Parts: sequence; C-alpha cells; structure tokens
Amino acid sequence: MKARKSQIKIGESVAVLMIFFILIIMGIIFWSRYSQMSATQQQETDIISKAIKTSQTVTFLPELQCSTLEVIKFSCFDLYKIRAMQELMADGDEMQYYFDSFSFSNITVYSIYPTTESWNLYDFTGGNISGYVTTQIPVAIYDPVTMKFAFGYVNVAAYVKGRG
Amino acid sequence: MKKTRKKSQTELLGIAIVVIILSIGVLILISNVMKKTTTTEQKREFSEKQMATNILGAILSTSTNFRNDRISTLLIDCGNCAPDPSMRGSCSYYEGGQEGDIYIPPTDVCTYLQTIISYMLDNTLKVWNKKYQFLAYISLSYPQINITEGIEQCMEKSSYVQKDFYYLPLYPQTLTVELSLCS
Amino acid sequence: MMVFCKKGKKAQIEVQFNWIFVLIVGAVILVFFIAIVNVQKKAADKNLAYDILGKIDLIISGALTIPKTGQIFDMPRIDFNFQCDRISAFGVDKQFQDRIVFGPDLLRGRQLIVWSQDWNVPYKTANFLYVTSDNVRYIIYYNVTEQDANELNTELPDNITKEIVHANDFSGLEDRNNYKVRMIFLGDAYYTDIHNSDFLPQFMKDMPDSAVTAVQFFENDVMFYEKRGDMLVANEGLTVKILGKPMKYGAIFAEDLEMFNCSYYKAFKKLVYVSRVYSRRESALNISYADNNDCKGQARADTEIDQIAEAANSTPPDIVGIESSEGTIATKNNNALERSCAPVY
Repeated sequence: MKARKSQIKIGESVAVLMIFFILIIMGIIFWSRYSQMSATQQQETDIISKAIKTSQTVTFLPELQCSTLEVIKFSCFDLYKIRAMQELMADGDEMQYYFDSFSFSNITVYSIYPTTESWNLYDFTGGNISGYVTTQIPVAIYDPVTMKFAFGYVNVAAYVKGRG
Repeated sequence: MKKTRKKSQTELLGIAIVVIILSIGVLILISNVMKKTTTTEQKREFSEKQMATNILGAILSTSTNFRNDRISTLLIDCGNCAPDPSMRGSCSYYEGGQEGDIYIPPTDVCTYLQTIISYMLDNTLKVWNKKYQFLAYISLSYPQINITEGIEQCMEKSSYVQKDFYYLPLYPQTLTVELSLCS
Repeated sequence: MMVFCKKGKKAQIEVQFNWIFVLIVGAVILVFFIAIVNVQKKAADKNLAYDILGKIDLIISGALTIPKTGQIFDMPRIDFNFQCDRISAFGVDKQFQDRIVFGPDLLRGRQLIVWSQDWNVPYKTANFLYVTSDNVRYIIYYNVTEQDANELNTELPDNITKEIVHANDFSGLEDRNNYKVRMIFLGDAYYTDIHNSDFLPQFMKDMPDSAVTAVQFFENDVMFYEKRGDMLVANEGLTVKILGKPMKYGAIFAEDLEMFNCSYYKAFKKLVYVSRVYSRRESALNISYADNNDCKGQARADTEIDQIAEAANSTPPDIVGIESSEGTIATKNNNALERSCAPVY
C-alpha cells in the first residue's frame, strides 16, 4: 500500500515536470514565430531606411547640386551636371564606383514643369529582385545657361533582393 | 492542521510565482510592440516633413514664362490682389500661352499660379497618394490661392499632418505660403 | 524489532532518494533556464549594437549633409572600434561605404563628437567627417609661435577636450585619466626634442603605446608619430602632402598614418569622379555657348579640370599640379561670373 502510494507520488511529480517542459517548449515555439514575424517587419523597415538614405545621398551629391562658388543651394540640381552624370554612368567604371553609395537601386530625375523629361542616372539590379521600395524627393532643376529653374523630383527605387 | 496550513501556503506561493512570470512576459511583449510602432511612425513623419519642405522650396524657385519671373515673385504680385477672383481687375495679367506641356488662357496672376501649382502638385503629390493643401494668404480666412486634395480626411487626426511655411514680404504685411501634407 | 528496523531503514533511503531526485531535476531546470537567458542575452547585445550603430550611421549621414557643424551625442557605455571604412561593436559592424570619415581606432566615453567640413578643390568635392570622443585629449604643442597654435585651437570645435601647451610646460602636464592622448606639433617643434626618451611626461610613458599618438605639420606636409616604450617615433619618417585645411583636420583626428591614408585616397578618388562630371559639364556648356564668345574659351575650364582629375588619379596624388590648376579654374570662374555666364563652380 505504502509502496504504491510512493509510486503514485513519483508518477505525479514526473507528470508535473513533463507538463511544465511542454509549456516551456510551447512558449519557445511561440516566441520564435513572433521573432520571425518581427524580423520580416524589421527587414521591411530596413529597406525603407535604405531607400531614404540613398535618396538623401543623391540629394546632397556635389556632382548634382547647384552651387555658386562654394554656396550650395539646397533641393536644387544643375541640369548640365545631371546630363553629364547620365553620360558618365554609361561607363562601367562610374557604375562600379557609385555602387558603394547607391547599392541595388534605380535613380531617375524627372522634370515636371515646364516640360516633362527624365534622366536615368543609375540602375543596378544585380539580378533576382523580388520588389522595390520608392522614395521621391522634389527638386528644382537649374539651367545655368538660361538661368531658369524647372520643377521636378528624384525617384529612388531601392531594390529588394529575392531569395536564392 | 499545521501541515495543511504549510501545504496551502506553498501552493499560494507557487501561484504567485506563475502570475509574476506571466506578467513579466506580457510586459516584454507589449513594450516590443510599442517600440516598433513608435520608430516606424517617427520615420514616416520625418519623411513627410522633409517632403513638405523640399516641395515648397522647389515650387517657389520655379521659373515661369510670365515675365520670366519665378513663382515666389509672382506670389508677391498675387498677394497684392484681392482674394475674390471677381475683384482682381487691377492685378497683374497673364496674356495666355503655352507653359511647357500645358496651355493657360489669359487670366490674372493668382489664377495663373493656381493652375501652374495645381499642375505640379497633381503630377507629384497626388500621384504619390499624398493628401495636401497649398495655401497662399495674408489672412487665413481669405486665401489668395487654395489648392486642396483630400486633406480634410487627415485634419481630423491633426498629429498626422505635416506642414511647412514660407513667408514672403508684402510691405507692410506678409504673405504666408503654407503646404500641409499627409499620407 | 526486526520489522521495525527494516521499516526505519526503508524510510531513511526513501528520504535521501527524494532529495537526490529533487536536486537532479532542480539542476536540469536551472541549466535549461540559464541556457535560454544566455542565448537571449547574446541576441539582445547584438540587437543593441545593431540599433546603436544604425543611429550612429544616421548621425554621420546627417552631419555630412550639413557641413561646418560640430555636434555632440550621448554615448552608451560600450566601446566602438573604428576603422577607415567601418565602425563596429559586439561583433556587429556598419560600413561607411564611400563616406570619408576620420577618427581614433577606439571610441570610448560619455559623448560622441562629430564635426564636418567641406573639401573644395576648388569646387565642392566632398564632406569630411571627424569623429571623436570627449575622453580623447588633444594637446596643441608649440615652441615659438603661439599665434599658429591659437589659430588652430580656434578652428577646432569647442566641444572636444583640447588645450594649448608651450614646450616649457609640456613636462609638467598632469594625467586627466583620458584613455587616449593626441599631440599636435606645429612646424616649430624640433624632431630631436620629440624623438627623445625624456620628452614625454611620466603619465604618458605609463600609458599603453596605442593610447599615445602625435602628428606634426610642416607647411603642407604631415608626419605621424607613434609611441614605442618611452619615446615617440616618427612613422617610418614618411611625410604626406595634404591639400586644404579639412585634410589637415583629418590628420589631427585620424588614429595613425594607415587610417589617414585610407580616407586620404578615398578623398582623391572622389575628386577624380567629381572632376569628370564638372569636365563633361564644361564641354557641354562650351557647345551651348557656341555663339557667345564671352562665355566660352576664357570662361570655361574643362582642360584644367581634366588636369585635376589626372593629378588626383596618380599615386601619390600630384598636389602641386592640383593647386596650380585650382588657381586657373578660380580665375576662369571669376571671368564667367563677371560676364554673367554660367560659372565653372
């Protein structure tokens, strides 16, 4: 009788421990699923941050900014610099150099008013993209010959690399 | 009796520990969720604030065919006009013509600007699914220029509206140029 | 009696067995939880490092877009390892990519100080960023001309830990518990004085070699010193030609010759690519101004800009050649501005 009682008691203890560990394991599974979800969200936030950072870099490039002597005009691109940059980017050497700044992205300047025109400055997909996130930054486009400003924007599309 | 009391005390302690562990777990979960929301929200607000600043600066710098003046100069002219379009007889007058890709009929300077700026905002902010309001006024109740696109929906939740202002001199008054923006 | 003895022994064994069982299970549970906490702690440290480095990256990006600013940021109590092209902590690193940053190899302290300057050659070429900590001590050493030392002291940001010291007062310097000391010798400091085992104050001799460094400026040249034992030794006796004050400040903040050279060559590489854009622009302007003799020829500088690109592309960069072309470009730029033509820059 007493032997049976103690056996039952041990069985009880073991059962409690088993349930305890099952609960812990369930908690860990739930936590890892949640972490995975937040990692995906983090990746999306990172892509958006990358797009914003690239567009900031483009907006402040001395190779594109309007300037008179050493005074920089903010949110303004020089039309002749845009054209020069576009021509130079056709050369592979330039593309390689600017990859450090722009990574996998597409950078295009659009003129809206008075005329519509566009200049693709940079485009590097590196193959196998699954999507892209875009940011737009409005800019004035200055023609130093006519001394007139057009209205436009820079479109930066940061590519999302696909898996595999 | 003593044994029973000790047993129940131990059981109560066990329950207390479980409750404490669960509370800590829930607290960590909530704090994680709150943190992420704040960071994403701050990024969005910063981007929109910057966009409002950039677009207003770019618009004001833009050159037009109206006396080859920039929009900022024409806005000053418009500031001297009456807010009511029917009372703008003495305003600067645009003879009409092709402005790049758009044709503008003969009109006063404020209406000319309304057309041009609407065109610019339609081809940028509207395309990018932003809601906005562009105002140029001496007195907010009677703006010289008012371009609105869906901003009423955002006005209810005033914290989501990003604004930027420019002030143009109109002696003795000031012309305020305001752009409000939200997603 | 026998029955009683048997039962007594059984009870004793049962109690001990119970205790052993409790100990083993308790130990297993404890180990299990410690393992989980350990894994989570490592992940949390990495997350923290990633978060902080992301913020530092944003600070650097922001500072680079608004030059001539000195900004202070509170730092967490962790050590950052700094290299020419990256900053790292807890095994996580953040690349600077093409950004030109000068700083010490280790950042430690309560405040991170960032300062940026435009580098114009003569057109705007790049922004240089200088990163340091409030716990790095900068000592401007002078022998004869106090004016030069005062000028440099005024140019450097106010919020760094800096001081001016005359040669006579140098040995009397006291330890202020800084983890790094950087000495800046101006042209009038004698090499024979510096390269002497009695030169350094005792507290600097007691500091680790990597914690004490120095630079010396001679007109447009800079020489780096490192501490070996009780002495400062010039880095292979090599001098580097610098171009412009922003580069001079870079030499002050860079840890050593190697890290300075890394950012130095990055800057000249940037100059090559910026010059190419300006040169192409000048050629296009020459064509646009085909009917306007005032605005082409003496108002356009494509040849000189090409010369700058070529001089910047050589190893080492031809500073004299660049400076010569700079002068001509500035003249042509003034010509363009006077004639209401599109300026060169």
